[in-house]
Amino acid sequence: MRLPFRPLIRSLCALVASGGVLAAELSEQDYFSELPVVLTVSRLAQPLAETPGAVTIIDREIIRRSGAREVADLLRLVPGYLVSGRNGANPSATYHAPLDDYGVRNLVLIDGRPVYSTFYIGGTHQGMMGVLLEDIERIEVLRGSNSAAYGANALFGVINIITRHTADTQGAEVSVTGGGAGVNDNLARIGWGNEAASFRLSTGRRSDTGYSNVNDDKIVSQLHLRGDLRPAADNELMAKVGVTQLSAGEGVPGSVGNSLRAVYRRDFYLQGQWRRQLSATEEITLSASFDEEVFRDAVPYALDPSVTLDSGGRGRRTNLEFQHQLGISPELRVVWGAGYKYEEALSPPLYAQQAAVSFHEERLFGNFEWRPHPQWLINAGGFWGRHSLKGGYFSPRLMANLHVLPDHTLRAGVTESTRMPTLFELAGDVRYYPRSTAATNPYRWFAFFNLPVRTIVASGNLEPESLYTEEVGYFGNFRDWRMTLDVRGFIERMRDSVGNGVRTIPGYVLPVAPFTPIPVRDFVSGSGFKIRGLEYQLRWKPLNDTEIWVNQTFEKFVHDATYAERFPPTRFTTLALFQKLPHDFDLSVMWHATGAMSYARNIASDILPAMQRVDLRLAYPFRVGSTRAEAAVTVQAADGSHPEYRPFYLFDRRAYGTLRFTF
Amino acid sequence: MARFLSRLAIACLLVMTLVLPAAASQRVWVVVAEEGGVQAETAAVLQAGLDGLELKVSRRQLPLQDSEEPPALIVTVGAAAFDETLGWLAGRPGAWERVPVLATLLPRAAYDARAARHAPGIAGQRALSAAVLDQPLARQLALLKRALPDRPRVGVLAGPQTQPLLPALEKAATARGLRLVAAPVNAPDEIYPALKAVLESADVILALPEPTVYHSATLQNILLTTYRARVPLVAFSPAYVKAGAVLAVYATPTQVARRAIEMVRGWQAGRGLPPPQMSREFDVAVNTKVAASLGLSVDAGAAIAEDLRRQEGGP
Repeated sequence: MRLPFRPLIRSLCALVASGGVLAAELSEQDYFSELPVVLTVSRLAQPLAETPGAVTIIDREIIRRSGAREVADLLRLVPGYLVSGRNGANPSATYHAPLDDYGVRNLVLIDGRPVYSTFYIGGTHQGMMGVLLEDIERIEVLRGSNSAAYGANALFGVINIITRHTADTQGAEVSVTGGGAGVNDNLARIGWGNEAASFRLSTGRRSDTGYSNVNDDKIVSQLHLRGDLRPAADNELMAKVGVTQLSAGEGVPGSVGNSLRAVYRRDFYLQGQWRRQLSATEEITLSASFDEEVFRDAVPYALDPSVTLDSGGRGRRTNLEFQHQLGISPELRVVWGAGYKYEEALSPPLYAQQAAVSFHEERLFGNFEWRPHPQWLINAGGFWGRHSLKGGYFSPRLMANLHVLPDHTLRAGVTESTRMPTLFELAGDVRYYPRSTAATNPYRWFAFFNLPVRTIVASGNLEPESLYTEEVGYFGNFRDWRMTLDVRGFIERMRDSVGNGVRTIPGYVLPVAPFTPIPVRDFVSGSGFKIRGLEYQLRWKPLNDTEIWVNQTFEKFVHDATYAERFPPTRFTTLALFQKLPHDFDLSVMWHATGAMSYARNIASDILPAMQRVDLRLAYPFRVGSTRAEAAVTVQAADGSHPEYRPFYLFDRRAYGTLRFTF
Repeated sequence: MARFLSRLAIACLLVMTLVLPAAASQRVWVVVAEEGGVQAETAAVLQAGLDGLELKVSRRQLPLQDSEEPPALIVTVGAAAFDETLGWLAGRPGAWERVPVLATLLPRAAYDARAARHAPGIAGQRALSAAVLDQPLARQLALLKRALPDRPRVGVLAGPQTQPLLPALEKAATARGLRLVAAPVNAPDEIYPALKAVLESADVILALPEPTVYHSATLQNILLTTYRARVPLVAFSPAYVKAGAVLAVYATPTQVARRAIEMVRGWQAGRGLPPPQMSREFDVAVNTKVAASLGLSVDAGAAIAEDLRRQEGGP
């Protein structure tokens, strides 16, 4: 019965198609009439010589050629970024100063959606795992403070991960990776649709055994669905939904309160963005996103098995934003907008309450891009936010770009950035109720009187962190040599850096004589410091098939007497060679060198010596019929084991192979 | 037929009756389908260039009175005027059957398609020709070489009309040290897969006037896709450059009109109408914003055009 209809459908299709062709005859209109401007200013990426700050872009090709498995690994290719991880399951990257283990002071966006944790420390390192590297179009890193454009959290810059448009990922792709250090990654992706509506479903899993000497095996599984609709030429709608699960080893053998175990995290998100082109010079964007993270981590307390040290919970964030871009004249462009975010954390063990703690923030922002003279570009803007618990803040920026010569730009500016305290820093209240009155339990008297042991009690008396930055820069494009050079000199002054404090609470005393007050941990605004330094990034294509990157950072860390945290190296370097070889082979060599530093703690046993690391990748693309394929071998730490984070946490040499098919 | 008549009813017809001094009996009609814009600019240049001729502006609706003496030559401005004129001439008897028609200000593809469509209705011995907007392939390749010297792999979406040109294009490209990456497009739904295939290895896309591939409905997707791939599109018209293409070499209405005047002069001198001609003169349009955003340093259009003219041995 089905067959007779087929010719009819086919002829209908042919009719529609031929109608399309007839309507599409060329005329002089195609030469001289006013066609709608497709690549409007708001759609165009800003040239690197015009950005209000130094920007590094890592594109899809470099992501593939690097052999990296983690976004954090890619940030090794960005000057100023220190990459490590408190264990192998928690890779993290920080800019200039390793102030925390979680990437708290960077803002990480995936397609515009912030991915920092809401319910605990505010880390971005796990949220950053919630994207498949194969789905990424490019990563744009604005090096240095960017709160003036993105608000609190963008203290040390923005890592902007942009995934591929679904129209560009039609068809299917599968890849498998396997090798040493338990590396076992898989990816499957399918894309379908047409010019008006296109979709992508991608799923991936990756796992490895992390560092040696550390319980940090990790499995990350994820599933993402993205759709792009274009109901009309001037309207675009993007929607995404996805889930990421992380299961990771944690703990130290024999530890009393941090024994070996697995922790579990699940992130779910829902996101929508609508862009409407009002004219060639005007566009509005509406964005909304919802994030939920669930974290499970429960470990029995060795000295009192009745007590479970639980730091699990659930965080939620809702983000709404309206943005309006407007070209007032060829010399003046304005972007302004308003936003609202609501964040809540639910964790009875961390907040000592059954209800969720929450805050909301109203936000207003604006930026002028003014070209008073063809050689000058001035960016002036600011971001105002009102935090329901800590009040208002304002982050301004003024940046001037001077095109001294057409391909040589000098840049200078000042900006002040803010980080608002996290919910945990404001309201954390960690209590445990010992039950055992055995003599071996140091907390038996608490059990006897049914009193809680309190470990962290946030007073909430802390100021937003602020970073005042002065910078000068240079961007040069030496076209004849096919080389670009980007230099950034900076002085970054941190005020009210949040650190650990100790205090006593009235009434919280030893339950037995002498009834002395018990100290608890608090978060306090403390010390300040200053980082003075210079970093540069050189990209050179001496030959068609050869690309060389040189990144170097030199910095001096000056702190006041109360600072006792971690210290950055005075110098770190990345050299990368991307070389196409005969017979389509493709070779990448990356060498990273970091001076001595303290990443975990600033005590002698935790000082990391100067170290190097060499990563290699050799790939061979081929075809199987119409299917494109690539076989690659990557060796990370090819020069042998090196310490990460702590001197005895070793990242061993690991080799793995990848086979990829694109249909 | 109904479409043709209704278009004529709306269209303003500017008829210039030109009495050529060299041959007093030869009258030339210039048919313009629209008032204003590039059509009017072309008509004005034709009028000024064929000086000494008397202009009579008429707003009569077609059909022209059959009683009127047929002119010695009809010059049409724009694709619609050419189409409507051929439609009107179709089946017109007697002296009208031999009136030659010179089309101007239209793409070669439009000229060919319309001439073919009306071929059954118009007499075989009638001379037809055109001063077209298209640019020589050699000039377009010279533009690529001059403006984007670091991008030697040239992608082309070859529709049915471009496919026969590919061997010549390939030869010309190779001679200039360029490599052609062509993908065939025979139906609208092949555009996108072909573009993706070409973008895998091309580092610039050369758009050739090809109605199966490039028209206002496909332009947006093509521009967005090439831009996302960070590959510049070099187009054939200033309108495309304004929409987001990086570069185009093109002939202005004035330049096309000047070429038409040369052809009329030749015809007047008894050499008949040559086959369709491209303009000798040209300009180059550059979209500096898109170029800068793609990290390209492209010189001003005037400077590039100057160099290309010098290469062609022009002034």
